[in-house]
Amino acid sequence: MRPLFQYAGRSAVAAIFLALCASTAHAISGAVNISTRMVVETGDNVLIGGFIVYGTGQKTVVVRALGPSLPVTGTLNDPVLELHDAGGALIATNDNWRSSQQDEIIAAGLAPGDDRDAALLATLAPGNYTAVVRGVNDATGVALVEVYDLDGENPTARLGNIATRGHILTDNDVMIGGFFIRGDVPKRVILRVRGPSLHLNGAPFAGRLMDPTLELHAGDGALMMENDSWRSSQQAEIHASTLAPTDDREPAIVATLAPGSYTFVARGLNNTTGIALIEMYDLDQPPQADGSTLFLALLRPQGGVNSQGSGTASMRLSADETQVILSFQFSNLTGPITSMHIHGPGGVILFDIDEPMPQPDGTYIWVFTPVGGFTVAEIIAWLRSGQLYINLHTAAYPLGEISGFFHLSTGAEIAPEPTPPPPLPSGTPTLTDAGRFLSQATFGATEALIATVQSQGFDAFLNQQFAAAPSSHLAFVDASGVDPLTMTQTRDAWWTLAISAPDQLRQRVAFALSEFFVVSNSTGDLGNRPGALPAYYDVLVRGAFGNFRQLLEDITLNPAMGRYLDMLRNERANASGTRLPNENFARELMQLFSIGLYNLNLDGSLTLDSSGFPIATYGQEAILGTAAVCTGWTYAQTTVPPIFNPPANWREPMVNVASRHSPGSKTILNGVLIPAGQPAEEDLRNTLDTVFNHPNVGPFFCRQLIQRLVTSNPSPGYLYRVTAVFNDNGQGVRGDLQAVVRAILMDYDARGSARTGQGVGHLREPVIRVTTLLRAFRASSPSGKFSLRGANTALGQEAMHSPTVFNFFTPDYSAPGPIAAAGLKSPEFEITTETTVITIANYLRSGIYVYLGPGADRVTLNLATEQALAANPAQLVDHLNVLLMASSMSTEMRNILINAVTQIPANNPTERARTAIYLVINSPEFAVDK
Amino acid sequence: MYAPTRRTFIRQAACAALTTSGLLNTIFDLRRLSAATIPNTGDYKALVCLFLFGGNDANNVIVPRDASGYASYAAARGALAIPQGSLLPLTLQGGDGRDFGFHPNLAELQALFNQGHLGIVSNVGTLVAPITRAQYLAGGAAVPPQLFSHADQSVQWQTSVPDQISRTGWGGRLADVLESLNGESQISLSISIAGTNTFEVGNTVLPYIVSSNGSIGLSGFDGSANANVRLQAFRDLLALPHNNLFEQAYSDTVSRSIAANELLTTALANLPPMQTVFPDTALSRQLNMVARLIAARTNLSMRRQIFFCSVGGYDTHGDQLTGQANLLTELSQGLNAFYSATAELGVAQDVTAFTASDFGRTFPTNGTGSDHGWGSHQFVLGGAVQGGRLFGTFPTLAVNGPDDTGQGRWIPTTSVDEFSATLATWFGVSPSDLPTVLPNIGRFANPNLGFFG
Repeated sequence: MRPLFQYAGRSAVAAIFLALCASTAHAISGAVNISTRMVVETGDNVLIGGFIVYGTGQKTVVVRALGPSLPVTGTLNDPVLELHDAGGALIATNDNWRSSQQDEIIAAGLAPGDDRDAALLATLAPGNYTAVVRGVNDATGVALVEVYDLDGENPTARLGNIATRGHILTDNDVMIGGFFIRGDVPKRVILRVRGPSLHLNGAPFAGRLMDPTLELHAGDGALMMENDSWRSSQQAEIHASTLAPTDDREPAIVATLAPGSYTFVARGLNNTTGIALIEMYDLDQPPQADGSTLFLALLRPQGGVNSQGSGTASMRLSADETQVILSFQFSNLTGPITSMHIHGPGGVILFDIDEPMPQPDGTYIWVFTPVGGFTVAEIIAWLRSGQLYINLHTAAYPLGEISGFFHLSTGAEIAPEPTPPPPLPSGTPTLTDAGRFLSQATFGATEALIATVQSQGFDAFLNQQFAAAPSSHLAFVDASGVDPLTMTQTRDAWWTLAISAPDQLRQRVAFALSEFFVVSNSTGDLGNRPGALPAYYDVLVRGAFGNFRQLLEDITLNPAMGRYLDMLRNERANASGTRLPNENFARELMQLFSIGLYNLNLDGSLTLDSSGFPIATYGQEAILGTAAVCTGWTYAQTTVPPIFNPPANWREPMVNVASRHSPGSKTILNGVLIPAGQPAEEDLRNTLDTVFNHPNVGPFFCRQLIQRLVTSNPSPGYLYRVTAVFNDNGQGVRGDLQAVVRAILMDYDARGSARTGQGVGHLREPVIRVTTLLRAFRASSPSGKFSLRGANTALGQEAMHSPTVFNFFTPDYSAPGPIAAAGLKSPEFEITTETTVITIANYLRSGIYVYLGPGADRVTLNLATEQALAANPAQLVDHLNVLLMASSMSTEMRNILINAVTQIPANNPTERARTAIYLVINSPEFAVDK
Repeated sequence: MYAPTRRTFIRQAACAALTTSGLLNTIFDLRRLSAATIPNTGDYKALVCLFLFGGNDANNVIVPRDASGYASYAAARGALAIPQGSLLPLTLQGGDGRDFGFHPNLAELQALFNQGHLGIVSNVGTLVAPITRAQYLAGGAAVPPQLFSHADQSVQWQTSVPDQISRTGWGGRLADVLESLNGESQISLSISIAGTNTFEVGNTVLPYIVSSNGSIGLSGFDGSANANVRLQAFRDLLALPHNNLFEQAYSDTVSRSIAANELLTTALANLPPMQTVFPDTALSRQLNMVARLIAARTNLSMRRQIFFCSVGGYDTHGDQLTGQANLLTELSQGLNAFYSATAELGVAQDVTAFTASDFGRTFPTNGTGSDHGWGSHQFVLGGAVQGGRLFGTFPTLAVNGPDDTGQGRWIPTTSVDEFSATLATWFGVSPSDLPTVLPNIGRFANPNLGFFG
């Protein structure tokens, strides 16, 4: 392992960073090293170096922080090194390099020159990492941070780099860095400087450098390239790298550099000063197994197109450069595709995708031939410089609804910031707006609430709902006086509160949470464990507007969840290893309750490695380690110290019995090592922190919450904006669920977007169709309880009755046929069958024509308003349109209904009302909430 | 109205795989192949997929009874070991001298096995390609993604293409190939008694979902004048076209249900009553409906039928001894009643039922249960099955033994592809059509495991 670094120059308070790229067996490119030296101060002015591991598999690195061994004056006397993951969680730390990994560091040939220097060795999964260098006891001085790649020949995981901030002054106090490219073949890189685009927590960074410039010098000092604004000279290439600056004033340089040493200088134009960030990325793609080259495109609406559509495409250029294999997918367009092409510069059509037959696996082969006067060589050159794009046309957008340019796949793609949506109309909501909002924010609109929202506006309603006292399911079942409590009381509580509780938004969000953090009566007879399920449900009710980190902890320690997924009384391994800790909760904690299976970008799209494949978030090792963390937990009790088998206590969080907890070290998510000997509470805290801070949580959780409230297919922009709020609510807080709920309901995609596209909205969940009916028509019962019976059988769904921990339906279910062909997800269709559509219709009919619930406590509708309107069929139908469908009823449907009502004798207003309600509530148009 | 075009066969491939030796269908391929290769011999066959959701611990379903085999089993299984004296002895045919026994709650299946109607396929699991323990531990060789995840493994069992994202299941692709045998039948070749599934989704044939009570009709329409007005208006609503694809799909589902209900209800009502008594369990109710739909095959003009049934609860992380015992009682009694029903209907040799499950389970216990495994043993039941035999290769029941990934999760020695191919071939797929149904079959050595002789 030969590190070779050179540092040339100095800077005021800035770190340049290290980039090491593994050389591969094909020696496409050697490693690039940068290291830098700077003055380490205190507080925020410590030395921070960042790097990214791309690709698949793990990468072993050595990070060093040198102070005393540097051959200069004023060195930092005793550097301390910290390694943090993307979420900021501390992975490893070292003060003096001999203290823990001395042998490994010596073996790597990287022993620092002074015992007070810091160094550590870590094996890292793909992701972003930062190395922070401080002085012990806040000492200051000059230090050097370095990152070395120990997997020299490993082509699957590579290091790239990100920069950290520095303060650029003038004259010699600009930012100067040196770097060295080793190996024997040239390497393609992009250098860029960020200034105007620097933001912190959504707000522009104070004191940022507003017009940075960049120079690239050869090892002998000769100027090679310079740039002030990235569009001025290499715009196409920079754009094709997908790493184009977001502000036109920022410079960028793409260069293919032969092995050797180089320096770059970043300064402010006209001697301006400020804080800037310099970055360098490796643009080479590791060799593909078959010699091909992979190009990817991200498809988004362009220009003035107002569409929720999106897609991805790939072109794999054959090794002999005679053809490409094209593959693409798309979702959520306004209508069927009318044509699709690959275009070159100026829009010239190079390939009509409709012309050839697709291959049996759905891909297309484009054999290169000269087109439109352009040669094959020109076409290939355009491909390599990022000037080819794919365009999908629809009837609504004949010039193209979504399109994207192809760029070399490097595994460094980041989700683009979405184009901001149009502003929402001002003023108070219309009847339609209010109705649409309430179908998302409650269990069903009522006349009274529609009027309230209309007069107060959305924000006032939200504020009132956020402030409303939570309605407790446990209190409800306890008040029933039934002993022992059974599933019947739990059902009564749920239906009654869903239909009549004033904290509608909280209850609706809690229901959505119950379909994410699933616990159900399908295991362990939980339905008949007194209070178990209502106590669990209350955790969701209380947590609906709190913080996700707290909610994660509360569901983890809840005994019903413990029973459901076997964390309750899970034991450490026995001495012989023939009994291992139960993995059930550990797996679902990550797979279902936080991060999912694959790395996600901020807009919910999959992060792909350089070969175009998704990157798994965790492996079996993380599950084994997390399972060991989840040992020793049992029911809360008054006994001190706690015993492992106390009486059942379903109402309080679980407690830990230390003797049953795995004592050894545990490797969990992201390769984080939990040290041996910690108390279980500390182990759990570390684990939940690590999980909570994984960047996947925002997109993974927020997408499903959007699916439950608004639409099955959020646009990338919608999810990006909501994820941003999850990541930071504007006051620096991560995981603020109240802010997330507000962001979901007040986004343009929920409030302002069109309702007429082919993929808009989502199929209403069966239980919500029932609550909508009962709320709209002021249902009541003699006792005031809504004791619905047989709902699960008739509807195929009921709260806390999920057949498995995967809920009634999965987020990615696409109904076979046109829905799947359009790239749309349709979770609720997973329980929509020829059987359930009829049983639901029959159940709703009972609610309208007869009653629901037991004979002794019938739930009936109050149709006084509708009966009064029945004399005028059009008025009756229009009233139902506003009340139930937020005015979305089509003209054709309206005519059919008016015609039918008219045929019912006018002296039977009850039958007229019931007929109209039956037809609306069972219509396909009502079935879809949009 | 949905009209298939070339564009509708865009597959949801997140990325182009490096190589795809397997091929998924297009309708053009199917029509060309079907016309050329379907035999027209007037026979009837039915396949019944019984999916055990959760991952059945087959380590306790079939257990070695010989002294040393049992001793190793018991030592490793600890608290989960079934007492040797409780095991139900199996008589292996064909000169197989091994000594195995069934879980004590499988008495009916023991009888069926010893009578030669039930076979066992050992150590079946999802595979991208054959893999040895050494290759698995070294890393680098392809394994199915998300090996121990319920959702992923269940889907991979049903699609039989673990290394691709497939919207179709092998049962659906099988139905696509043989669809023409059912001529003008108005009912789908694929019927599910257990809700939506991936197994039966084809490119053209989609599953028809019924309940254990058959299809359900709309209630509240008593023929009165007002009811007729409402019914007609409802039908008019269902006839409206919709731009919104969710509305259209919902509307189509209702329309299909109403149309099929009339046909199905009539066909089932005209059947002579069945003598075989089915137990009153969720599984048996499903199999009872399957038996009735088989009885109605002529009324429904069906020469081929594929059924999907399922039971949940097999994810025995805890309380396994009790939990699995109850499940196996239900399984044994249900399959036994089903076999009897097919015999009563005179179609025992034409109907084959088989089990499938997400995965097996870990050989050592986690205390009172076991965790997610990989390879597992499955049943095949029917008059055409060469029963009383173990097919495939029984794994060495040793932690860190030659078949272990490391914690007693067996590396499959028979792939889902080979298991499915044997069933598909019996069902009537020609060798040239087989890769259309099972695209990865060419990677494995035994496309016919021989359990039909």
